[in-house]
Amino acid sequence: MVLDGNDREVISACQRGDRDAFRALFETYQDRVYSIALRYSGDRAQALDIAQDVFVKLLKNIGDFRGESGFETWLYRMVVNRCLDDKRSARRWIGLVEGFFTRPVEPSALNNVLRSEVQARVQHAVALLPPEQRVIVVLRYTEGLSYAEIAEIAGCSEGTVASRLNRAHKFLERRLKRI
Amino acid sequence: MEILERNLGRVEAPAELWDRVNGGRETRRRSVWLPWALALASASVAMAGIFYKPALRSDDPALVREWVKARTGMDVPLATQHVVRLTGARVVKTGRIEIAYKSGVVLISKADGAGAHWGTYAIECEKPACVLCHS
Repeated sequence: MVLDGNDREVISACQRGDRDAFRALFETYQDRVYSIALRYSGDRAQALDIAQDVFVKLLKNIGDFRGESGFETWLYRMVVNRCLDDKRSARRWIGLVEGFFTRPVEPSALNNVLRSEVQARVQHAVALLPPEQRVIVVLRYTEGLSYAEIAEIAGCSEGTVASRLNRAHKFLERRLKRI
Repeated sequence: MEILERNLGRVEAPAELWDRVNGGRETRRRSVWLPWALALASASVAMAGIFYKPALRSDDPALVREWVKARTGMDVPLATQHVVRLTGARVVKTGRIEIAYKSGVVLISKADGAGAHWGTYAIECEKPACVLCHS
């Protein structure tokens, strides 16, 4: 079963309790949900927790989806709310520190090692952003969403999105200028 | 910013995610307040131990026994030779006293309630050591 964007048929099947349809929905969106969670939290275990909660909540609440907004927007909003709701900062910091000191090293090529190192530094810098800025950075760069789409998901104006992104850029430029 | 585009891209979700979702349970989120509440409770217990003040400060068993009897009517025999040092006593509320030792307190009440009675008093502690000496 292939899901194409706002495929009403699959969503309707999910609303009727069709597990196969839910599996198809999961297959389509799992990478997006997990990626946002990972880029936001900087911790694999925490990202798994977030993604799990989002899909369990999706299964429970899919009957509430009325199609007033796009399905993706509705789902992204759920992910963003779950990310912002996450208070386990201690675990995130532990994850970041661990990640920083135990960067994945692939001995096959120096390029891979350097890429991993840069990625860890970028992820570390992003994790230092305030949650409201971080979530916008993730939606912009992980999902490639427009300001209007981000504004709809985050429940704020496009101006707010632009100013948060601008502040985040300035902070990240300072942190990453040596890379 | 190009560096963000290059390094914050989408990743593949781990295969275990479906198993976890299929389990159908949301993760249990620990409260942020729980560690603080536990720390506060531990600190309170520690402070209570440090600042515990008996109303009567004495290591004389005869004096403590007399003091308790005069205030509550309970005649609690206290051994003259003990492994743990007696430090005093205090009335917690009417008909309830604490005999204080260096290692802790023994809670004693008038012998009109349920439980084991020894003359005019009953021990509310559940520790065998308390019962052993105050029976």
